[in-house]
Amino acid sequence: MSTSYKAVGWNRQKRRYDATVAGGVAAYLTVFVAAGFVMDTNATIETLLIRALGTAALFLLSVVLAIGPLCRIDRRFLPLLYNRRHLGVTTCLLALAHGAFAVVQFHALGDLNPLASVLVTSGDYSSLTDFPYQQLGLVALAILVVMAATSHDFWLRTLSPPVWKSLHMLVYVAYALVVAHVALGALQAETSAVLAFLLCMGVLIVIGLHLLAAHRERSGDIERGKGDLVDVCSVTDIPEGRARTVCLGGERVAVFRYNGRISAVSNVCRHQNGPLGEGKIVGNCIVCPWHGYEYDPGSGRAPAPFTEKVPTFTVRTVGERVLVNPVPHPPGTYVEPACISVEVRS
Amino acid sequence: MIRPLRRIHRIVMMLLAIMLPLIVFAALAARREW
Repeated sequence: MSTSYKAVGWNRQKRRYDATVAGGVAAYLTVFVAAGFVMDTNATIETLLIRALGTAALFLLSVVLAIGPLCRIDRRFLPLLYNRRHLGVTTCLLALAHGAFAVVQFHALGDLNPLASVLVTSGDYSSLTDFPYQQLGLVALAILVVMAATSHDFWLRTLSPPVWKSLHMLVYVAYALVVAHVALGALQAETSAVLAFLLCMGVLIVIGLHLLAAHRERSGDIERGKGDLVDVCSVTDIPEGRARTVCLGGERVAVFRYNGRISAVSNVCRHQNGPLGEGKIVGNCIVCPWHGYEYDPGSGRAPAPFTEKVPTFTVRTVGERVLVNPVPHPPGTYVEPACISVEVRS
Repeated sequence: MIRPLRRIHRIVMMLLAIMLPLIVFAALAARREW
């Protein structure tokens, strides 16, 4: 959320986050290579680095994929989501280094161009044990590079949030390709069961967290009925300064309670489709829990000089019941908030 | 999240939830030696 162009809006929190990630990656690579030399005195530094970089990239990719569902399951994980893209770019850099070392190690000594050699490397597509797994890694790497290159907010604005989000869902395809790359490559040559166990655990955790988060969200997506004004909840169901998210006409609507009033806006933040209904009111503005984008609850407009707008909904209160019209107003349309009667407030 | 994206997300997740364990377990089962 900025009015003038800045390549990266650095702040103290981002610097600490990046320093922690860089330190963690450096420590992991050092320990992996050192332990590799101790356990196998014949191991070469190139082989150990290829393995260290590959496992680090897979671990970070799993963490990146786990952050989304973790935040939906427990709000305490939200700080991890704030700089998730930094983790994604780090994953891409590790994967690039892994790929570069592997190409130099296994493909640079022949007559062919090393990259062409990766593509025509021998293998049998019908065999699980001889599958040309390197091509899988190459396609996954290409996806990660495209995602890292378009991770900046400039591309988010240029492509529009729905297109950008759809493009970045390719991360799941990349993850599937990486898992297949490891299962059909390193796992086939590895005699120890440790890597197989870690890979299985990683896959089960990532899938399990997504299914758990989806199950929880699904239970909140019960259609509240049809009509001009739909009874969505009681005033007392909404904590002060917070929202209750309801499903109306197939879309999620965030119904906020603040200062004795009720307003309803679309649950979808204009920045990255973050869940506004999980945010809170700070200083008379709704604050998105993902990246802190702000909106006036009555008009759905970001405070000047910002220009983001979300659709608003007509709200009425009858006694302690909250009624919402499921037809959204155009983004940024001011709607008079419904007042909570004094008896209900007390 | 807006509706079409949510639907795509769900379909992709269901495919992954089925395909990934299959790939991993098939690859493990095909391993020549343990």
